[in-house]
Amino acid sequence: MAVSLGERKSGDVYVLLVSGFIDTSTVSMVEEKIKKLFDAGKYKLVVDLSGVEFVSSAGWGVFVAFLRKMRDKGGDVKLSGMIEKVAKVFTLMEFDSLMAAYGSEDEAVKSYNK
Amino acid sequence: MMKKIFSIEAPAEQGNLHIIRNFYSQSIRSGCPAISDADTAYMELAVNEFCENIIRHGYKGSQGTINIRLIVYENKINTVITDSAKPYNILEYEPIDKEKLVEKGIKGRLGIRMIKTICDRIKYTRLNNKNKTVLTKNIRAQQES
Repeated sequence: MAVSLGERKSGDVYVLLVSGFIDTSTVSMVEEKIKKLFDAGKYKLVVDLSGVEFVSSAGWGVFVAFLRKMRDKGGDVKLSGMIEKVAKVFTLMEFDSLMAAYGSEDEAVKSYNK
Repeated sequence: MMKKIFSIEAPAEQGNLHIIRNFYSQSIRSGCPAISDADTAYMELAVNEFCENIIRHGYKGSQGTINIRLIVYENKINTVITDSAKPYNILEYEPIDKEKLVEKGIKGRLGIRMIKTICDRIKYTRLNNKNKTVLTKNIRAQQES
């Protein structure tokens, strides 16, 4: 499995469920999905990475690229469920100072209502 | 000094990146049990980023190969990456500033920042129409990470 995507709605928050790995060979699928959500006015996004084993710069770049767009529309991009290996890269590269990450999808969704 | 060597050569295609990553992380675990899980993950990422750059900016769609040799010493690992693409010296490129990523919405140029953050030393040579880059990571024991 390279990458697979799912989606669910929780109130006005949209959760993108990603499984597999995100690198240059798969990132376009993820990017297209997020762009579709953005174009449809779905600005409050949680990307659940609990099924993702690897994220390259291509993947992190897409998340960061949509941060400002979503925030400009009153939304955000939040991450949830990163496995330790992915979370360590997230911290090392200081992405934690740019975007919020939560242990679970539920926590990430609830954070929009605080 | 004792050392272990692992090597792989693969066609320079995006679809092979996960094969390279799997080979690389398995080789590190096999050859260097003392290395931390974090450093294994970081080096897997650094090698992935370097190979992505070779494929996208070096070969640019033309055919070629990437040769990777992992040399495990007692206190460091050297990853020697060799390709026949156009000259590419990563040391000549500045990593992108983190804040600009959001400010400008830039998606690219993150890979260089990752490689330079992760590796303790980088050495580049161009010889016989080949790029040879050595990424060095000092070994930190599991409990230190």
